[in-house]
Formats: sequence, C-alpha cells, structure tokens
Amino acid sequence: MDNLKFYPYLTDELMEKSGCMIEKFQFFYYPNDMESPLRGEKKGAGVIKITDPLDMWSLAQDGITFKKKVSIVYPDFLFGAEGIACKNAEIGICIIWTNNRLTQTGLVLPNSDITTAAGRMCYFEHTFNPGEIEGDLQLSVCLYVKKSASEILDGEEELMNEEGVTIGELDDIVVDFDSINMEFPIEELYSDKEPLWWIEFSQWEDPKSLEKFTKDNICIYLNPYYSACPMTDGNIKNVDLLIDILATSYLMIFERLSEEDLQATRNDVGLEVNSICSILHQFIGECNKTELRFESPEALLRTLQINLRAKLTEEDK
Amino acid sequence: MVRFKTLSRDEAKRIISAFDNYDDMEFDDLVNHWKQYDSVSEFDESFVDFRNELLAAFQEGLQETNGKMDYPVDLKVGLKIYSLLPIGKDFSIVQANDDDFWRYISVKVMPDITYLRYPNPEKAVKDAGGRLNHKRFYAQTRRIWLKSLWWYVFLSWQGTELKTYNALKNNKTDNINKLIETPGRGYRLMLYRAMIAEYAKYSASNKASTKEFAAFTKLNNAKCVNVEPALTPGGEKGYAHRLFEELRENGGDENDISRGNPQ
Repeated sequence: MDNLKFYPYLTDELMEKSGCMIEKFQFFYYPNDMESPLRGEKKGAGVIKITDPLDMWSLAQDGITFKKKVSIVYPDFLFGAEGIACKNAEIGICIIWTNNRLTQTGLVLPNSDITTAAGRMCYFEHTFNPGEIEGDLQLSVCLYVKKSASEILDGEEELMNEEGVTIGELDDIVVDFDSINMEFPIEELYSDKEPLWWIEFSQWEDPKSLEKFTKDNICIYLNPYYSACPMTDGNIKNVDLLIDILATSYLMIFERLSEEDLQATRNDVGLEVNSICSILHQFIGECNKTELRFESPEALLRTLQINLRAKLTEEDK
Repeated sequence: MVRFKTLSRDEAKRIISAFDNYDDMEFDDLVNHWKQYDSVSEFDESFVDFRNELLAAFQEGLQETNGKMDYPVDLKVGLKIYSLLPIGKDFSIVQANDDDFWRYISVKVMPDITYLRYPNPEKAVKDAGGRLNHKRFYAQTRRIWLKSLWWYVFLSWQGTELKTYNALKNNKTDNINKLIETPGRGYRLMLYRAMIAEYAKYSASNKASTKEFAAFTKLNNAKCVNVEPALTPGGEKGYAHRLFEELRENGGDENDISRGNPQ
C-alpha cells in the first residue's frame, strides 16, 4: 500500500534516461580522529552487513559515518509532462534514514549540491554518534519537490506540485548491525528435560502495532542437548532441520493471526514499524522463490519450506 | 547519576509472577508495604536519590488530584524521570530504549508506585489468576509505565521543564498512549515536539478531546508515507500547524483522514 502512488513517480526508465548514477554507500569510523573504512558485505536483497577489517569497530562505542555521491547527468528529463515534477518546480535530493530498533527516522540533506553543464552532483556525509542508533539502519535516497511551480503548464496537471512530497527513490539499502528484524529470534537452551526444539509466544494483544517481532513475543528454543540440534553457538549444523523448524514456526505464527490481521499483514495496512505483522509483511515480500500460498495450512507450509530453503542456502553461498 | 542496571524479561516475569502467587495474606502485606512507599525489593544504591525524587513527584501529583490516580500524577512523574535521566553523555537514546533498564526500575526500584498507579491486572493475567499488571511492570515495551512517561516527555520536550509542563498540562493519559504508540515509520523528534506545541495552543483555548489528538497523530502518519515534514514550507512547525488546520476543517474525524494524503 505504501508503494501505491497516484501521481507520476520515478521509474527505472526515467532514472536511466536522466542518467542517474548512484555510487555505493561508503561507511567509516574515526578511531583517534583517523578515518577508517568499514566493509559492507551483501547479506541478502538490499541488505548489507557492516564489518571492520581491523575488527576494532563497535557501533555503540564508535558510531558510524556514511558518505554517498549521487549524480544526474540529464536532470532536465525529470521535469515536464513526461517527468515527475513541473518545469518550473525545483527537485531536491535527500536521504531518509530509519532505525527500526529505536523507532527513529530522520533526514539528511546534501553537504553539496552542484549543477554544471555536466549535470547535477550531490554529496552526502552524515555521522551517527555513539548511542544514537542501534541494530539496523535503512537509508533511502529520495527525490522530493523542493519548490513548487508557480505555474503548471499544459500536460503537467497530474504531476505532484506540493513541497516536501517525495517523487522518487534513487537507492534504498538496509544496513544490518545486529538487527532483531533480520533474523528469527532463536535461543539455545541446553536441557535434558526439554525437547529438541519448541516455540514460545507471549500474549499478543495487537500484533499489528503493540507487539514487536522480538524474543519477548516470539522465540524458538533449540536444545543442544540432542546431537541433532540444528544450531550450536549460532553455527548452523543441520540446515534441513532448521528449515523445517523455521517453516513450522512461521506457519504457527501465521495461523495465530486473526483473519483481519492476516489480511492487514499481506496488504501492509496499518502496520507499525517493527511490529510482528510488519516483519511478517517484510518476510512475505522476501519470499520470491515462489509465492506464499495462504489458502490452506499445508499449502502455506510447503511454500514456506521452498522459500526458506532458498533464503538459507543463498545466505550460505 | 544512576548506574545502568538491567533486569531481563524472564527475571522480571519471575519476580512479578512470584508476587502473583502470594496467598491473600502475603499479598495484602505486600500491598500495605507499597502503600507506605516501601519498595520491599533491594536495588543498587545509586538509585536511592532517584527513587526519593520520583516518590516526591508522585506524591506531589497525588496532592494535585486529591489522591486520585490520574494524568497529573503521570505528568509530574514523567517530567521528574526525564529530568533525572536527560539525554546526554550519561544516558543515550539507545539506553532509553532498553526495556531491561526500565524493567529494573519498575520491578526493583519503583514497584510501589507502579502498582499504585496501575493496581489492576490486565484481563488475561486476571483470568489466569494473576494480581499485578504485567504490561505496566515489564511485559509490553510501549506500556511499561515509567518508560512510557520518559518517552512521552522526551518526544514532547519544549526546551524547559516549565514550557513542557505548560504544553502537556491539558492532556490526558490516553494522549500518552497515542503519542507513544503511533510512531508511523519512526519518531521524528522535532516533528513530535512541533505537534505537541501546536496541539497545546489549541487545547489551551478549547476543550480538546483525546479523539482529536488521536486523529492528529493518525493524519500525520497517513501523510508521512509520502511527505517529509521537515521539507515542507515552514519545516516541522509549519507542517504541524497546517496539519491541525486541516483536521479542524475536517471536523477532527479520526476516520476521515484520506483527503489529506497526497498519494
């Protein structure tokens, strides 16, 4: 639903036509005021994991700085009836950041924004100080109406002309520091009195908004007492069994939702950031091996298995 | 400054469930201790002054309400807890978001006033034979009472304690829940503060209802799907003003917010 727009929005074709060139985000920290680069490793579609080649960096102690360059060689194509903004309007470029763990969002404006005969070039640099963010960071490079057009020309009636409204997204990444949102909450509990695995849920009042997808509300327990335990000390030892456990767990979670909440989850209606339903919605979106089939529990379990296998084995590679 | 002490969810649950399992005489005795502001539990010594100041604020709030557990008590305690734990070098937003820290305060340091403010268990707990309000002590991240008060004041901060008090004094307890529980994509700090200031202007001269505030936050969430308030004319303040004007034109109907959303 959030992606549904009733006004012209930046398309891949228009990005290509206008010569948008997006350099990768670069990440740094500054031990003893010396710039030290961090490495971004692709973890999944649009998700990167940050590591420090020196193995010294900690988000909590050092914070993090990102740098980003965006250039648009033919910005004129973005304007007019075939573009996304009126001819007399001004388009701004910004980065919207969201930290789901802390339920915070904010805005970064370019440090420099220069237009020459060679096109438009924006440079961003922003530092999150220690203690400002935690867990995850979504960075979305957006175009917005910076200054509305005083005159709307013929053919431009459908174009957005309200200042502050986003009219396109050039890039979007999620940085995973140690996010709860990226992985299913799993605990290892050694006990000769417990089964190989089980799942615990809290009392959910409103999984669309109140309950987060955290181990407080959902948690798989794996018991390393058994030699077949699929994971020990965070290392996967039996991926087939883990897929089975995860698929069953997701099935139980979907089955636990009311019909109304399930529909809201599938259609992204009224979901609060980080809530159980919003993370499930994100999960559904990531299931691209085959569409999840909700018409029966057996169909859902089957399609969950297929997708989780693809997801886990892709991560392995 | 207090030391950063934590209590896990499991530990908090174990302590509160143990109280739940007291027999009637034991539980009455516990409540009598709490009514006399005896926390019963042991806690880190760095919290002694912190506790005394919060107790004083709680009692001050009760004087204002003639002993009734109501919003002025929340506001007094909220302003005090924020003044004791301001964001700075000793206390970060990451720490303020740590439920285990608030569980320590609620269960170990201030169980008496947490109980006195919310003496009734939620339905599910009551049905299971419980006696204490688990959500308000430890169980639900945005309902842990003292945590929700800290965030309410932080998100509403107007620069000084007095200005913040003046901006919030006409609200009700439901406003706390609405503000905390409707972050949309995430809290935009300056926007929240501008919205509180705008709503305060209105509630000072009108009998504003919680329903209007709910509509205000809901309309904002609907708009923020496509609009960045800081980038609109006049920034967050201008946006908050227009948002409220729009709401009043619509008659403050929480269910009729679609007109404002530029999709």
